Parts: sequence; C-alpha cells; structure tokens
Amino acid sequence: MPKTKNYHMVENSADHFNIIRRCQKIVRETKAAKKLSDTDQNSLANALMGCGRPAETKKVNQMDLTEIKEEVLESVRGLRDDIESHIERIAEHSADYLKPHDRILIWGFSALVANFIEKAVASKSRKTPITLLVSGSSNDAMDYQRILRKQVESKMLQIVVIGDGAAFTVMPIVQKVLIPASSLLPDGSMRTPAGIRALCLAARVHAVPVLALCPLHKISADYPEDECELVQPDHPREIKPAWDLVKSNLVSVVITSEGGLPPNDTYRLHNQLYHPGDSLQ
Amino acid sequence: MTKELSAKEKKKLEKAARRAKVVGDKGVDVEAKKAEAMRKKEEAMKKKQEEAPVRQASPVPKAASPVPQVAALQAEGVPGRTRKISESQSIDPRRLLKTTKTQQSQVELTEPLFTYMRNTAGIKDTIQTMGFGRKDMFSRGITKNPTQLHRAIVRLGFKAAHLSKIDEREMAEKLKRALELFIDDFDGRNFNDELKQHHRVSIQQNFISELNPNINFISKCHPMTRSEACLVDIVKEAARSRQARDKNLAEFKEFLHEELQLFWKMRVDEAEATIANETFNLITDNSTVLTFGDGMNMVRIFEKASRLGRKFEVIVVDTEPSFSGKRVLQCLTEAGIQTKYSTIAGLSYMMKQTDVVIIGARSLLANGSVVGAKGCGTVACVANEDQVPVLVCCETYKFEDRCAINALDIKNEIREFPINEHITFANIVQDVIPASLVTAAITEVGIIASTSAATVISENERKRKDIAFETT
Repeated sequence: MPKTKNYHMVENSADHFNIIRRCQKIVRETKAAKKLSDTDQNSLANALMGCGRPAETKKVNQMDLTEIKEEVLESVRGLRDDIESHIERIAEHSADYLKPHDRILIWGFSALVANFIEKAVASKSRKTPITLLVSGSSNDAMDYQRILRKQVESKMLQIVVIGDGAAFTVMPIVQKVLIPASSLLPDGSMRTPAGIRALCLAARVHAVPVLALCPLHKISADYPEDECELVQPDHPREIKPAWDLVKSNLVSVVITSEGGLPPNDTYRLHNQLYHPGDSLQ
Repeated sequence: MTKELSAKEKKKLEKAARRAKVVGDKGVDVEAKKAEAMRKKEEAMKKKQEEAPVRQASPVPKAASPVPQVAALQAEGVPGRTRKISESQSIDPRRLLKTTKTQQSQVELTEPLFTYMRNTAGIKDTIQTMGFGRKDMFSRGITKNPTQLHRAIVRLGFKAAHLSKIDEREMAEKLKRALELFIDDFDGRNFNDELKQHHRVSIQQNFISELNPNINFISKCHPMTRSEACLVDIVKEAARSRQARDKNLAEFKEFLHEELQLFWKMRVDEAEATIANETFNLITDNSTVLTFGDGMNMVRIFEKASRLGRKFEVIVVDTEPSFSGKRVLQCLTEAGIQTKYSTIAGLSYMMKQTDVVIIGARSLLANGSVVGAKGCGTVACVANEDQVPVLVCCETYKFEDRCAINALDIKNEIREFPINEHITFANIVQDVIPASLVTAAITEVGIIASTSAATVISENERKRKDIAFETT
C-alpha cells in the first residue's frame, strides 16, 4: 500500500521558489549593508529618509555583485545550515508550550511534530508526562513509535491512536492541538496535510489552542495559483485532496525557528525574508 | 536470613551516608544512593507481596484478568513467596503485574484514558467463564452459577461483542427476533421450588424474572443503543400491563407478540416511511447531499427519494477503523444514485460542494444533542463553518430523556485493542453532536428543532399514561 506523504522536508515545488527568493533578498540586503557602511550614517537626511531602504529598491548591477560575492556566499551557507537544522531549532521551543500532564491531539505523521514532542518529554529539567492522541490515518500513526520509542518505554509518553473521526469526540479533554504547516501563505493562512482543517474547527468549538509548526523555508513568497489539488485515489469514486487551507483565525500561534508568532503578524516575517521586487508576478 | 541481610545493608548504608556527609565525595555518594535505592526497592517489593491479596480485589483497569481461575491462582501463590525475596527479584512472573514503588510512580504519571467508559475488551473472557466457549457455543463447561440464558440471546450477545461494525437498526431487528424466539419458548414451568411453597408466582413476574438475566447478559456484551433499550422496555411494559394480567400462557404470549409487532410497525417502519417523505421534500433537484456512512438507514431514505423522482448527488463520508461507508457507497450506486466517497481528510474540500448535510442519528437527547456514529461530530462542525445546514433523521422511539454535553461519559462505549505493546487503538463508538451545531431534526412528527425533543418525549409519556389509564 503506498505510503502517504511526509510533509517535513522540502517537498513542495513551491519551496524551491521560496529559497530562490530568500537568496535574492540576501543579495539585496548585503548590497544595502555595504552601501550603508560606505555612506555616512549619522547625517540628518539619512535619519529622516530611513537608512538603507532607498538603496534596496535599486537594481543590483554586475559591478556590485563582484563586491558582495563573499558575504552573499556566507549568508547563503548560513541559510543552508538553517534549513538543515530547522527541526531541532523548532523543537527547542517546545518546553515553552507543552506543559506536564498535557493531552495533545495531532494528525498523521510529521517528523517536525514528533521531534517537538520528543524534546519536551525528554527534557531533564522537569518531568513532562504527555499523552499523545493521534488521529488521522492509523498507518501513519505507527511511525510515531519509531521516533518516540524511548519515551514511550519510559512511560513518560503515552500514545493512543483514536482514528480520524474522533477529533470532535475527544476534544473536551484535549489541552493542545499541534499541526505541521506545509506552507504558510503571506496572509497568515496555511496549507496543511488534508484533514487538519476539520481538526482546527473542532478545536475552535471547544476553545482549544492550536499550535502550528512552520519552518522558515516554508513561508511562501507568493500566493499560490492553484485552488486545490487532488491526489490519486485508492478507489474509483474516491476524492482525495492533497492539502487543506487553514485560515489564520483558527490558529493560536505559529512556532518557527525564531520562536512563537501570532498568525496575523506573519506579514512582518514575510517582509523580512522576501522582497516584493523579486516576485515573478 | 533476609532480615539480617537487610539489617546489615542498613548499617552499611548508614556508614556510607555518614562518610559521604563528612567527606562530600561524589563517588561514595552515588554508591550510597544506589544501595539505598536497591534497599528501598526490596522493601517495597516485600510490602507489595504482603499486600497482594488486598490488591487483587481492586485491580488495575487494564492489567486485571476477569477470569476467576487465574485470579485465584495469583492469590494462592503469594504466601509461599514471601520468604525468598532474592529469588523473586530475578525470576518472578508476577512481577509484571505488581509494580515497585518507582515504577508505580512513573505509571501514575501518564494515566490511562477513558477508563470510565464501558469497555468490552474483557467480554470474551466473561463469555468463556459462563461456559460458552468459542468452539461450542452451548457447552456448559465449568460454571459456578448456571445461568438460564436463551440460546438466541446468547448468539446475539456473542455476535455483538465481536462485531466491529455496528449497524444499530440491524441490531434492533436481531434483538427483536431474539425476543420473539424467547417469548415463543417461554413456558411458565421454571418455578423455583422454594417459592412454589409460599406463593404462586404469576406468569407476568415469572416472565420478567426470566427475561432480566438475558438482558443483563446482552448489556454486558455491548452497551445497548437506545433503539434496543426501547424494544426491551416495550416488552417489559406489555408484560407488566394490566391487560396481561388474567391471561393464560398462550394468550399471554400472543399478547406480547402483538404488542411487539404493533410497536415495530407503527413506530419503526411507518415512521421511517414518513421520514423518507419529509426528506424527499427537503432535497431539491440537482443538489448535493453529504451523508455519513454509518448505517443503512440513510440508504433506504435516499433510495426512496430517488425512486420518487429526485435527481441528486450524494457524498459519503467515512471513518476508520470500520469503514462502514463502503457498504453505503455500494448500495447507493446500485440504486442508481451518483455518489462520491471521501474520508474525513477530504471533508473540508467536499463541504464546499455540498448543499445540505443529512445524517442518521442513533438517539436524540432531551437537550437537543444528537448521538450518532463516531465521526459525525466532526462533520457537523465543518458543516457549520461553511454554513451548510445539518439535518438529522431520527424516529421518535429513539428519543432519550437524558442530557449529554459531550461523548465522553459513562453511556458511551470504547473498544480498545492494542496495536503493539505500547500503542493502543481506542475506538470510541458513539459521538455526540451538541445542539448548537444541529439545524433541525426530521422525525415522523415533522421537522422539529432538535431542542424540542424534550417536548416530544413528555407528550409521548403523557399519551401513554392516558392510554394505560383508560383501559383499566
């Protein structure tokens, strides 16, 4: 039986564009920083106009590129390290959000979520027994045992598989819902593996906070063009969408490598990472 | 000897502790702590062994075996073991059941969930202790109290305990058939000899006293749904009624049969026909209806609507582990209705295309909440978000007089089975949709707001009391 996708690495083709846009932004930034260090920073004109911004909007010429090549390469290497270590860096924030004796509801398998929980449960400073309620396809749920075997055996973590329909049923006793984002759109809504929107809606009815885990390279630079995407079904009459669109009002906090972020403020992060002049539209 | 050992160890530990305090050396401290922990472990084990007979009475929910023979063995084997502690540390098969202090404190960290819900996990053992083994269902093996259970009831209970897919209408039909067989086979001859001397028990009381253990058995096998409970209530009430008082055996049985048939015809079959008509009026042409695949109720209603000439499309939503929607999908396509199929994963996508959600209910509660199959709560929740009306089909005999706020209460059933030694699959069988998410209920008394269920229940009660009063 074909395994369903694991949305934890750079899988969407859109992610490639994100990284290209990041690099473009890096180039602009380095150029602006270079210009800044050349000019006089403390002049009144600069203070009034805002430092650096006019320099960014100008196009980058060939001459500038040779000057800033070294710094750009360094920043790009830093970006690559960020992408490779994003799972660990997001997991570092788990202790702030997961408290002892929590019951957490998740959907399907995601390495991000698994590492997040593992970091919280394995913390040496305090005992964090956590009960993990896994909904979604139960074949995916078995993968959790692979990563979290040590915690389950030490009885700090209890994994209960409840099946996909029971999200609403068990929600009264759940304290938090953890969802992985497969891409974060500029307006704060996010694409997630199929079925998570039902989970978030049930959480809203019961007033349960929803935490979304999103690595920086999945913050989408542009709005996507397709409205929906269907996956090959197992049965001729079956319809299987590839992802769900979860609006930002359903999510309480978005956790990135930098820390927690309110979902309606993601445009700030978006402006920080990408430059609108680079878009293809 | 062991006491001496532990005393010696005690002295050693005290010395080590004193030395550690004076010297402040890390190595000695660790050793002392280890030895201390070992000693504490031994003491705890000893304590547990002494307390074992007391503990057997209140077993840990999952680990206890309900079979009395094994429990007897456990209690028996304890006194012989209290002396050899050093042996028991290495090879003790019962160590798996008894936990040391440190292990117990760790186990208490993550509590097992849903222990208060009715768990049918131990039902096979219970059936076996009653003497009904798997191979030969009617052989009475080692039974302490031979229970006079009717064979049809036993068959039904056995099947119900092992079934993974429960279609509640089918269960009600099976129960009805079993009850009919029971009534047929009932002969007022099983008098208790002691009672016979004092006073003659009437046929009514005899019947009820024979029926009760059967019903207890079935409710142990699986928690009865509202429709089944209603059937049983009808039979009991007919047996207790004043009309049945002065009848002889044959007339009594005929009376009971009649009552059962009347109930089934009026409140189940005809009610369903009325509901099908109402639903036909509600579905407009070329609309898309979303339904939840848990039973054949909706299949019959949709078939009727399509026969009456409506053109509509049905989307069947299904959940694991039972995937009962596949059968619904098959029946609907055979009836010629265009159907699509999806699981909860595809629900948000499908909801954008639906006009109305119609689901079948297992019971309607007095505060307007709906008891349905597992997963219908999620469907109602998503439908509310997309402003799709949620309609619930429910006959009036399924109305229940209690209020539930969510699905996690005592009346619900959970079917647990372990996937491997660490992960269990907890299948909560029924789901409760709160009244705020339900738009209306389609019943044979009309299309009512789901909160009006309480009024319907009280009206029915009043009518029944009036009828009973009139016939006396």
